[in-house]
This record gives sequence, structure tokens and C-alpha cells, in this order.
Amino acid sequence: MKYLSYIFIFFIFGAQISFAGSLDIKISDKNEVAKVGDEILITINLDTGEDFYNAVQGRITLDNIFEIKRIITGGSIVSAWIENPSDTKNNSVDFSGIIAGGFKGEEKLFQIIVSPKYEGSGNIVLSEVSIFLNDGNGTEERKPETLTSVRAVNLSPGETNKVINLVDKISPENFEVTLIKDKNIEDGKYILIFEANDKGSGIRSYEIVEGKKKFTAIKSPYVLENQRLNERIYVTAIDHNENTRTVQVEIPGKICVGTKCFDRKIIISILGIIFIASFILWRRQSEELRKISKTSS
Amino acid sequence: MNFISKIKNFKLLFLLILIIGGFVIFNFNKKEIISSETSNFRITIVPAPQCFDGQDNDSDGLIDFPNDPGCASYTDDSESDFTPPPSGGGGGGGGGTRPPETGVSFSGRAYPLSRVTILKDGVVVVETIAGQDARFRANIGDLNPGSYNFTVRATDENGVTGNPFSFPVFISQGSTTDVTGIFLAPTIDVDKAEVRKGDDIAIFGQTVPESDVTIEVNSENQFFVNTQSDGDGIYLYNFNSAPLEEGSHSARSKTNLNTGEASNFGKLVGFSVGDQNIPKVPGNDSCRADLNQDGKVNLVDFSIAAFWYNKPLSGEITITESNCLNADGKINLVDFSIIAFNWTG
Repeated sequence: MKYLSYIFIFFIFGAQISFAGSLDIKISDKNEVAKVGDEILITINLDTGEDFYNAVQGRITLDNIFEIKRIITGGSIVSAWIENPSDTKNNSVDFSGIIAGGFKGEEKLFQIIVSPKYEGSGNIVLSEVSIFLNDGNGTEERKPETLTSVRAVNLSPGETNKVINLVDKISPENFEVTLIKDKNIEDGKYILIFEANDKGSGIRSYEIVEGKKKFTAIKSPYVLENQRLNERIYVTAIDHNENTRTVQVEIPGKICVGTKCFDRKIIISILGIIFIASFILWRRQSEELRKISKTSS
Repeated sequence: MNFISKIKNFKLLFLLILIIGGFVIFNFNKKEIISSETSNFRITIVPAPQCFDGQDNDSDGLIDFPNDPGCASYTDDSESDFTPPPSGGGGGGGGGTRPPETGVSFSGRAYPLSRVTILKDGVVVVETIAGQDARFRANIGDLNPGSYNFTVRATDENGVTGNPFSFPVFISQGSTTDVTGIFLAPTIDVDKAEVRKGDDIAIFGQTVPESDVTIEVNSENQFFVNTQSDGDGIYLYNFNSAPLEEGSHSARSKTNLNTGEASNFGKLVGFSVGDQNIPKVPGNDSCRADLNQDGKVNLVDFSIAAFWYNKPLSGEITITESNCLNADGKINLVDFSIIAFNWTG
């Protein structure tokens, strides 16, 4: 039995030496007992130690005592989410994403604002965590489960609840929307690819307007309804504080007038025909004028 | 009693062997990590003037110009109540009508006349050309306050891209951040995919002109050789493969300047030692993570991978995954990590 524990120590010790990177949970007012109805800020941090990492995944499971008020991805080190934590609909928050080019340091992945619904103690479990080295081989480091507890008591008479006010008056950053057609995705249909960044409250949603249609909520990659690409397309990124940024999608080979877009070649051909026709008419007219002037002289 | 103490000693010895074994095994398994710290890399932050820092510096409940009457302009560095200059002075004033720009400047060394690209959170934001002395300078303005992960990379005259250099920076409103001393590791390539044992293999690349280059060749024993770059930053070393065993090998290089500055080791380039010489075909490995094969690894490739994430692969993607990712027949976080490593923006 003792030898087994030595072997256990061997693995723990070895693992601690090798794997410097970690994910951890930080809780605002950790030392204070929360009150029912208070808003508590939970920050999920990536600390890489001395190594570079470029991908991360995990799951946060919150006990039923907690109600998730908001998930904030603004200012995250993650460049693109595969599973965006903001999409969570229950108390289990799955997340995975990449950090383009790799990252070394300590930075937040995302934050969760929760509120205890009733008196008692609740656990926040960080599990199924893997972080990937920026070594070109996708070397995975699995991390052990961590548990953090928060205790909540009822409000005393006269007390008020703590509320987290996130001031964000800044629009999402300018972003690029790429229109592509690729055999590897959505059966080679025209799709839009986009990812906006917001350093404040984080991107909440995207909307599209194709031609005269109404704004519709979309996600990247988005298969265009109108595959003929003959309508102007706008995509809007909206953050959690309703700040917006709208960009027009560039359609290669098209010229847009009003809400309609036309093939550049057709426009050029029509303009060419008009030019040639007017030239011929002008020549005829000038010849006729010359004839008239000759006959009159 | 003596016997018991012997047993205790044995236990201690066993524990010690296990711990040392753990250290050795786990560290042998550890992969080579790309480190991009250079010898005099420095981030200097010039904070915003008080009248444009978004803070109530004088605790009067009013923040910045023009809301705080203590501020004469955006560039005023004191929010405390404005005191007019003594009479008789006159003149001066003006300026500060526009808020200071929140931005970052980057400077350092790449390769002579190379194309230097700067990415902000994985998106290309600036491209510039380095001078003949390999020095470059670039600025990014109009940034929102927040944390950014910047990546700087350069492509040499042969189209070979060196190791990118990534670092996080926190930008506060109105501040100016100066990132200096970036020293990109040399580019590297070889002329043969396979070299006949005993023949030379040319290891070459580009770095800062007239500098010392150390080349490391990995085999059972590591070999270190030195050479010098010419006036165009080109270096070349004909490495004799006689001391290398048959099989796969790799090489990488770093630059040392007379000033004491040094780059880190750059990318690894692979080759093998065998019984024939096979020239290296340029662009043979260009598919790496470039799923739509447009010469870039960016959000499009990410989206293609995300579309097939944890789904059974079928059709063209099966071949693409096999050629451009890790060929394990599925798309998971390992593939995304490969995409992130090869990201060009």
C-alpha cells in the first residue's frame, strides 16, 4: 500500500514539474460570505507559466444554488471560440477556443456573474480541462478537477445586494466578414465567416440583413439565404451592453446600388454598349450636319 | 534494529529513485516549446494624461476633459482645479483639443527588406518592410482599452517565414505603449529533404546583416556550428552529415550580435540522412493547417474545422484532414491547436 502511495507521489511530483500551465477560478470577495441575491464575479484564468499555449477546453459546473446572470467574454485572450461559453443555457458551462499564435502569461478566458438563489453552500467545479502547447503538434496537457465553494446567507434587515455594474460604452472593434465557398463546408454553398472582438462586455450576438429582409440573428459560419449574391449584405455585432458595429460584406465581382447588387461584368458590358451606341449616334448626327451644311453651301 | 533501519533506508532510496525517475521521464517527454523572448525585449507604457485616463483623479466626482473643470485640455496632466497663470504671462495655451490616441508602437530587428506583419488577437493589422539593416518600426493606433495578444512575424526574401513572436499587452485609455527590442529568430531552410550519409547538406536562411549565427543540428548528439551572415543577412553553412546517424534530424538557428543582444532559436527544419540525396521541393509542406489551401491559415480554416468538430468526417474533408492536420481521422482540439500554431491571420 505504501509503495502505491510512493508511485502516486511519483506521478504527482513528475506532473507538477512538467506541466506549468494551469486554469484556475478566481472569485470576487472570496473571503466574504455572500448574501442571497448578491452578484458574484467568477473569473476563469489561464496561467501558462513559462510555456506557450494555444488552445484550451473545459467545463464549469455550478451547483443549483447559483443562478447565472451573465457570461462575459469581453477582453478574453481567446481569439476564436469553438464552444462559446456565452451560449450556455444551464449551470454547466462548456468552453473551448484557440489563441492564435500562442500565448504566455496570465490572462482571463471569461467571467461569469452568478447570484445565490437561497441560503447555503454551493460548489463551482472546473473539470475536463485540457490545455494545448503551442508546439505545432497539439500536445495536450490534461488538468485535474478543481473545486471552489461559496457560502451564502440571507440578507440582514436594511442590507442591500451587491450588484456588478459593467460600464461598456465602446462599440465592438471593426471586424472582417469573409464570403467563401468551399467544398469542405456546407456542401460548397456561399457562407459568411466572421468573429468580432469586444474588449468590454463581450460579443452577445450577430445579426444579418440581406437586401430588404429584416435583421436576423446568425452565427458563424452562416449559409447565405440568397445564394445568387444579388443583394447587399450587412452583418452587425452586438455586445452585451447593446453597443453595435455594422460592416458591409464585400461581394467579389459585384457592384451594389441601393439594396441590389449586379454583376460587374454585366454593368461594364451595358455601359460599353451605351457608350458605343452614343458614339455611333453622335457620328451619324455629325455626318448629317456636315451633309446639311454642304448642301446649304 | 539494524535490519529495520536498512529497510527504512531502502524505502527512502526507492522513494528517491521514483521522484528522480518521475522528473527524468516527464521532462524527457516534454516537447520543444517555442519561446520567443529576446534579450532586450521591453514594453514601456506612457500613461494617459489625467484628463484623458477615464479616472476621477481629484475625487471631485467629475472625470476627464471637458467634464472636469480642472482640465484645460485632453492633454492636461492634472485634474485638480485649474489655476490661471499669473498675470502678465499671456500667450501659450492651445493644443489638446483632440484626445490623445491610444496606441502601440513596435520596433526591433527582422531580416533586411523583409515583410514584417503584426497581428492583433490573430488578425493582421499592419504590414511593413524592414530596412536594409533589418530594423523595423510600426504603429497601431485607435485601440480600445483592454488586453491584446500581439504577434510579430517576418518573411524573408525566399518567402520563408520565421518563428513568430507573441506577447500580451494591456492597453489603458489614452496611454502610449512602446514595444522595443523585438528580435526575430533567423529563418532557416535546407537544400535536401534527404542527404546521403557523408555528403554535405546546406543549411541557410536570413537574419540581421553581419551577425554571428549559431546552428544547432539535433541527432543523438547535438552539434553546434557557427557561421556569419553577409551584408544582406544571408547565412549558409554546409554541414557534413558524416557524424549523423541514419534517420530523421532537425536543425535550428539563432543570432548573436556584438552588442550582446541575441535572438532565440528559431523554427526547426527537418531532414533525413539516408543512402541518397533528395533535393527539398519548396512548398511541399504548405498545406499544414491551411484547409482551404489559399496560402493563409486564418478564421476560414478555423471555421472549416469548427464545422467538422467532433463530427464523423466524410467526403473531401477526410483527405484534407489527412494531408493538412494530424491525420487521425477526426477533428478535435489537437487539430485546432495545429491551426493556432500555424496561424497567419
